[in-house]
Amino acid sequence: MGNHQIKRTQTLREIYWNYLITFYLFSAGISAGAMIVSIAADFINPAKYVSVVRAGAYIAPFPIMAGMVGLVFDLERPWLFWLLLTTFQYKSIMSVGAWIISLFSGVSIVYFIINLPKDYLKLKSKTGTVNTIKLSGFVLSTCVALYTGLLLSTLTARPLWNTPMIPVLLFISAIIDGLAAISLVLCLKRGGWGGAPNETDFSHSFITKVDFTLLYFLSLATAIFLIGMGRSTESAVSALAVVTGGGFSVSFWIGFVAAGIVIPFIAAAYELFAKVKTHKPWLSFISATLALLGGYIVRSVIIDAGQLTKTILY
Amino acid sequence: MSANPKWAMIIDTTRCVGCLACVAACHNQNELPMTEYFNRIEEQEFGHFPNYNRRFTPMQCQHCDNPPCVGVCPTGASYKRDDGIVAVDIKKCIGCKYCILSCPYNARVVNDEHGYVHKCSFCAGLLGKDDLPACVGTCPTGVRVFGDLNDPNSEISKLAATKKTVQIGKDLNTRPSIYYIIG
Amino acid sequence: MRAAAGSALASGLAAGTLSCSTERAAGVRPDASKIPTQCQGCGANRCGIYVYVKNGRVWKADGNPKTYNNAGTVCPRGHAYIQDIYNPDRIKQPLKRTDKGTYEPITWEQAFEEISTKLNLLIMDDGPQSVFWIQYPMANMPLAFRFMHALGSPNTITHGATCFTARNAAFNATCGGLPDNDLKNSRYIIMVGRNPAGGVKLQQIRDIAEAKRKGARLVVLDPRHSETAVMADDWLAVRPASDLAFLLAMINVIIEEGLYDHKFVEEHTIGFDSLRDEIVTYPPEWAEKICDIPKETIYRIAREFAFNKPRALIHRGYHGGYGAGYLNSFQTARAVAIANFLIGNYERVGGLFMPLKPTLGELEKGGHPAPAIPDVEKADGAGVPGRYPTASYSDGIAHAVPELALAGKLKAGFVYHMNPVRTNPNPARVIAGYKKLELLVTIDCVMSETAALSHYVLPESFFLERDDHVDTVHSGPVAQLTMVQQVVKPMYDTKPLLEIITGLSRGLGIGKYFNFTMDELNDLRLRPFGVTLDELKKGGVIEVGPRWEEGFKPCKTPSGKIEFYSSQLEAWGLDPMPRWQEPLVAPDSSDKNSFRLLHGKQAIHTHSMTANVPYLMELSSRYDMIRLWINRKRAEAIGLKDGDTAVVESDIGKGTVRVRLTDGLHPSAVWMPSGYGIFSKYLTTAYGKGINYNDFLDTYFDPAVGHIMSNEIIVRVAKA
Ligand code: SF4
Ligand code: SF4
Ligand code: SF4
Repeated sequence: MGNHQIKRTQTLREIYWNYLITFYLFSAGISAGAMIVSIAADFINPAKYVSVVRAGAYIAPFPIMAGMVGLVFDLERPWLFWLLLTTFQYKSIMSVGAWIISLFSGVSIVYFIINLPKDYLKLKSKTGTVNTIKLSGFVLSTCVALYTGLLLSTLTARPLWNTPMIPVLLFISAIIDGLAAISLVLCLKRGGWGGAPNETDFSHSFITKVDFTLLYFLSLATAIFLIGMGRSTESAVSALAVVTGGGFSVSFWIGFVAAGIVIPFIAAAYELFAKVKTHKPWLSFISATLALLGGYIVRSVIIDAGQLTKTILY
Repeated sequence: MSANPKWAMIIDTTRCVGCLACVAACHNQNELPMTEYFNRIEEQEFGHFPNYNRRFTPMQCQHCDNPPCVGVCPTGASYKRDDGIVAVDIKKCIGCKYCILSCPYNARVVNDEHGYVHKCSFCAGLLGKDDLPACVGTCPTGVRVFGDLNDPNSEISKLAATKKTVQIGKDLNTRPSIYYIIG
Repeated sequence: MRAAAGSALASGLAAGTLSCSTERAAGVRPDASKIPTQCQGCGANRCGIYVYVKNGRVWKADGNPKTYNNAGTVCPRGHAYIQDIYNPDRIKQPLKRTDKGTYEPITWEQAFEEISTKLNLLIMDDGPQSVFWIQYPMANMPLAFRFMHALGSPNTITHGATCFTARNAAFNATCGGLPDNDLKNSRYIIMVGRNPAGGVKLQQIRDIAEAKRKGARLVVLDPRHSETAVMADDWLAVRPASDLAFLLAMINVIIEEGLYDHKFVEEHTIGFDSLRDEIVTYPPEWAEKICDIPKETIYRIAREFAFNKPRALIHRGYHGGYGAGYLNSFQTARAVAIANFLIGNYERVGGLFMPLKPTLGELEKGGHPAPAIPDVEKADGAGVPGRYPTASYSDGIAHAVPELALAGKLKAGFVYHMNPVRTNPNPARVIAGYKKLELLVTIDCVMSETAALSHYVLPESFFLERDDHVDTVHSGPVAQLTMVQQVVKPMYDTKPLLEIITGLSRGLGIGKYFNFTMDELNDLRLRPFGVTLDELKKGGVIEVGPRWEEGFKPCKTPSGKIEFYSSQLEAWGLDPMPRWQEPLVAPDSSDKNSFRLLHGKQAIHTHSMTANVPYLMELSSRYDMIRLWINRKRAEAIGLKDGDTAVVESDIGKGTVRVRLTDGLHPSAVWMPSGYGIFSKYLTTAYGKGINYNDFLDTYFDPAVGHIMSNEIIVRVAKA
């Protein structure tokens, strides 16, 4: 029977960060992911993957702006949000993040403009400048994608968050979400922006390959996260139980694992191994939508469950 | 009181009867709205009838020496004073609640009316005037001993030297200024 | 939150400019003034406090470091109750009941005139002894005596019979008065059902903590793991109603093993031989079967207790255990007294001692003659041989009022600072009784259940709005004077009690007894001590007279000694020595739903009086305290989980309440916190929250003392 013990405590409120923060992290992930994918594609083969490059560039600035609005309205004193940008607190991930996101927004807008068909900024010829923009865009978007996880993982008070796997998970998931957003755009804009008739097929197969790889890593990261938490401290184990077995289990297993990983992974694997060469918009659409859904749900579960569970102190 | 005090509290849970006088005193002292509070009493039960015991553990801001809440604050509203008190400058607080989530002790609350975050201040406004924090003075069993750890003659310094105490959540590297006698 | 954020925009900006940081908000503002007064949050302890007023508003309270009952500390009720001055439910002017049962405001003049006219008629028809006054006993109780005696009625009653009269009667019979406990200096403390951490007495828990720091041992004998038990070295989970068996066995061990104080017993007690002859029947081997405490433990506790003599004590008790709980409470209290005095701890450091009560100056000295005490028996039979001989004359028997009203013996009554309709057993019967009265006047600050039945409700000024009687409640090893002092101006058209009584007295033809002011009265009260009212008002407390000194002083018993054997009790036809006595009722051990219903106090509530204090009720719900405690195993056997709702039912009543499963309770009982179950619709915070043990208790009168036997309740508990 062991030593029977009951603890009775009170909590004023359980949830301090609601769906607005989930949305903020999610949209920041999409923006950063889209940017990373776009710049990566640009480095690899700008001509062949021009649709990926452009779609990514066109997406990047916007979700994060909406997310920022969400963040501001999650503040208890939204009218004071500007105080965030009057100081730089290097120890505060949120302060650092606010600055990074601001810079990211600026760079992503420039990147967006230089990817427009018309050379508004007269930069086409200045390769050095353009490369600097791309490089800084890559670094900043990497930071943004990492930031969303680090924001959570550095809090020792929250066992579900306080693991190095959270930034890894959210980072991979951010790129998958960016990729999915690009994929959705390409489903809508048939033909993409390429000159070649089979341009979307190239872009699509690029997306599929990257997606397959990332989903593979995401499932690994998820497995490591689950195993690691499950074999950790009492705090971690009970926090994990809330996610995998508690009120969040349906969201987690069906919303994230099945819809967000397994189905898109099977879809990508099917296309890769069945050597499907042509772009099937309906399939991409379903797969991308599910991936985005999974991306939102996993953040929502992590945000909510993370707040409900606390480090057991005594 | 020494020239540069370091305020701290020792809480002797073996004498806490869970009467909530300290909770009520804090409420008045800080003119809190009805549903907000800076301190609370947690209760534990052990064992099987008739071999049974209970423990009441007063909880509040631990005035950490390495306060996570200060580290995470994006505007510098949360700060640590030289005397060890962790305080909030409510003018700078934007209500992001990051500090609330970062605090392992669940010590911080949102003020519903104005939106800022506040918490136990060790009754900073009362100190240095021979006054004690409200929760300390009102405790009938003398659970709470408050004072200056830098003053070797203070009651708390002497108690800290003679009694075995623990800091709750020590391994989270928060280095609390509240020391507990668990018994 | 969201909604609040938008609308708080403007005010938030304003707040930002007003106060710049939390610590500023927490500090003492220079404009706060500090006024000493006496807390009225429970009525019993009346702790010395300072009340701070800031910008004309009551802010906070601090303990007066000098007063005996609290020494600088304040309990949660004290902190919260000062804010009740702003309770929207307060009565703002005199009220008169209309034919429809609603209340209409009237002037004080009209109230005084109508009440005295009605009362004069009733007295003409039925005599003054048909009038009663009932109140919680406080410093101003002498006013009630004066008022009733002037009318010619002996019927002044307190809540005593529902609370502590069995204990008082037993100590009176044994040592001629109620001793205090020198806990601070004790080395071995036994609490029998007493829980000063719940039924708060700050000085007592403070002293226990201090004694423990000095190495004392604390034993708590209680079916429930009380809050005091948290500090205990031993928690003895006694079967309810069998404390007497434990105590008899303790006495048995102390006598059989010769552990008593031989010299003390010989010099200062009578009846030891008879006690020794009888006590052989009660060895621990006998007791363990009754009280569920293993015999080894009883031996050990008895020996440890005696080895620490004379600095060992069994706490004199209050309500819990044997104040008014059981049929055997009177004898249990006798056994407590005897077990104590056997080890010679009477008037000893670390033992029991007679508190020093200063004798206040009297109104007569100022030319205000007292009315004669009416030469009639009290209607409730308190102190009347053949009825309730050991009952206290001045306390009377509170729960006899409805019965006497139904029998037509009482026709008119005044209820002051008390709420018998909620705090007496069997509400239906109490309501019927009080409704039968032809005139019922309640003096209170809020519309209690009793007020809501009354013909007239007279609002008393809140304690922070009035001066009141110089008080001797802080009397222990030293006598102290304190008083309720006005802190702020009255908010509404209310009056202090003296003015209310004076107003009534004129139309009743007894105005000549009430021709003084509160200041004159207090001056006279202070006169013997050479202290002025101003001095008292300034410091809040004044120490008077010598300090208590160790050493036997003759008892106020017939023999002048400690009476183990009481011929007086024998003459009244009662057991002259404690003998085992079964409780009145017992749960059915074959029925898994049958329990004894116990009750007790939580530190945040006083009687039925504080449930309507919004902050205290907030604490009740935040800490989920409005729950029935039930032994975990027994609860599981009837399918109850922690937090479930249960139906509780006795022959008298039925109700639902959520349960708290615990291992800290004897399996045969359930335990209900006593401060809830308010049913007056006027009390908007408290109304309808929780249930009350009185809803399940039948109307009983203990044959010797007349007390209510408040734990003689069997209930059925089942999942709702
Ligand atoms: S006042 Fe003291 S005994 Fe009461 S709850 Fe607070 S710390 Fe515990
Ligand atoms: S207890 Fe919490 S609020 Fe207080 S200093 Fe530590 S982290 Fe900050
Ligand atoms: S130190 Fe002051 S602010 Fe902190 S819990 Fe105690 S009373 Fe409240």
